[in-house]
Amino acid sequence: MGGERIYVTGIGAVSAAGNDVDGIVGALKSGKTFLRPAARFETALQMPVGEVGLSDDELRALLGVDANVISRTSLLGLKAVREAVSDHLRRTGGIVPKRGVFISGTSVGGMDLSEEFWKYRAMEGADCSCLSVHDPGASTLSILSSAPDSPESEEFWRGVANSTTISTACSSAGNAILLAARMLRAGVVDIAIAGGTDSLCRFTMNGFNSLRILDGDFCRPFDESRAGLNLGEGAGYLVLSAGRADGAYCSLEGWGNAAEAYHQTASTPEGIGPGLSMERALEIAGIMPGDISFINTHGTGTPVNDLAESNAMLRIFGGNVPPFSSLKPYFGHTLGASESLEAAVVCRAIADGDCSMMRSSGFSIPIPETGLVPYNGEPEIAPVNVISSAFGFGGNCVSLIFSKV
Amino acid sequence: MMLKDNILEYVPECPCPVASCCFATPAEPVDVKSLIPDANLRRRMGPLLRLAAACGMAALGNVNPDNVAGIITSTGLGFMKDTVSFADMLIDRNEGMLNPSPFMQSTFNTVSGYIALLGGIRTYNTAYVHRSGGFAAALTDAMMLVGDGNVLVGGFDEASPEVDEYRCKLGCWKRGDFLPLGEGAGFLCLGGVDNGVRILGVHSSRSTLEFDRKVLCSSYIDRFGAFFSILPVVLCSIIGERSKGRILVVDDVNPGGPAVLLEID
Repeated sequence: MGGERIYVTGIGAVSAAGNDVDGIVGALKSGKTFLRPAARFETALQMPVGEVGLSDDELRALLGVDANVISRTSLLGLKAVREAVSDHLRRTGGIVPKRGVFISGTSVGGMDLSEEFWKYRAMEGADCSCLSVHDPGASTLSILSSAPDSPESEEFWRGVANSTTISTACSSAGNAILLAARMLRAGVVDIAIAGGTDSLCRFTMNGFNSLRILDGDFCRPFDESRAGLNLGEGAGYLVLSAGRADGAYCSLEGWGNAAEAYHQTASTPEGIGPGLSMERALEIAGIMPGDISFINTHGTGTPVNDLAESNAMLRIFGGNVPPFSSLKPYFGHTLGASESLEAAVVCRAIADGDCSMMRSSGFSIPIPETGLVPYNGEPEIAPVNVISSAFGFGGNCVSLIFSKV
Repeated sequence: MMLKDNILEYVPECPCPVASCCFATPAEPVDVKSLIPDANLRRRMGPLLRLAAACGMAALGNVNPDNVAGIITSTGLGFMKDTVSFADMLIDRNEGMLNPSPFMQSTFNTVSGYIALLGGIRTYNTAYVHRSGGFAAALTDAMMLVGDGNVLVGGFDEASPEVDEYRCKLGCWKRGDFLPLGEGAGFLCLGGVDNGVRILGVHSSRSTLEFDRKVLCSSYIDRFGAFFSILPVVLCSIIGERSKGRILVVDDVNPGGPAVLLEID
């Protein structure tokens, strides 16, 4: 075993733009933004965020979850995981893993419930049970324990021998997919469910606000006037299969991870880390920069990220940067979920042969240092190879390449 | 192969050499000043970050940064003190005028990022946070990568009142009424020439495995205390003792803790 091509045979996602992949794709096609001030959690910060439309209670009812303590991060993850697995079973005619693995990424795990604990800690009667799902690992274990929702999916999950959790901030889901790819390529597993989930909470809102990288207005990736990012929540998971193309959306051909070794929260202006992760992904895929038809950027809308990422693209593509855009203006920066949620959209764009739903938003004037203009929906692109990237704290950079089959 | 089928979940194609290793706890620290010479940087780092990053640097030793194929960490609860400090601050100050430092440092991949920064190492870098099982995943990842060069792999955790509350909630580490809470970091540098210490395989959750020579992490509790990342600390300690033969090192301190099969000539 080992050395086989890796196919995406199932996708699932939830975000402010929609509760499943079809919903998100439809919403993106409408071109609307789904960012608005936070309504589902308490915060003094009145900034646009991308909140999933379903409340915790609605998610619980929809998913039939009766666990006493389950974080929103797990509920969102469970929603997307179930969609991805049932999609895989439908498309492949019910192929189950001989030896599967579940790899989940998240930046803050069950922080939404830990906050409940901390809020009341000073008073009598703080609910200690809220703290029991604080860690990222707990969110993965909660998803795993409620994942089967039909006899077919029960059989599928019986083949999943192991699970783990990755937390590398905004690139968590990217690293989860990258590990899945390496395990599939090495023949350690035959099917992997990989992705990430994160829910909005006061902790992350205030963390990003204290770093002064939130925009009180809608984010404007790659625009001269860009002033920060908008946070979002959601989840995305892919079912990846080794050597089985039946029903596949696309293949996963390349992956690259790089540490920038520069600063805990900022990128080098020249984008050394982003350049390295893209280069390494191209090398594994065995293709040339000129073979890339589209780039789904990290494109957060912060002054530092977009300049660094633009410079990296200019360097890697020798000035001929392929059409690129950012999905962040539609549902926000979903942190540990971003790379897998956006990968689900990329996989659909490849399968449908249409990138128009990934057109940029909020852009009017290019960054003077780079002059790069993001994709506005024209001309029509039927993508062959797409790079999708995420860059996180700690200088952690991940790029993935998905290709048409 | 017997080991693969009956005992271990992941067995590397070849036994995986351990080039060097290091552990650090508050009672048995490493020389942070010499390992992190930049005083400004050192000052900005919290105690756990200093201890864990210095421990990783010590395990890396004199390995050429160009030969490092990866830096992989694991933690159960990460930077709980920074997390609580930022959460308290945002409640106390009603979300205004917050110092971002504890937020920045609370991120789970801070140690792997800082080791990359300190060593100027731009290769593969990742962080597992899956209770005690994160180290099994980290070690599996590292052994899959070791063909490309040296791989630094380790774990770290700290003690705090919240961690104590958490472990009580989870029912971890109860021996009678009381178990001392511990903290520390342990890092191994894998790959390179075989100098007589090898990892033969890892299992993520089989603390009940049978093997004729087993070392239980619980036998180290009086020395190290109990915490999620006790296994990498105990592994480094056993390697330092150079007791010979094949030893199955089992984390029986944490529910479903991982096990590592070690071989020392």
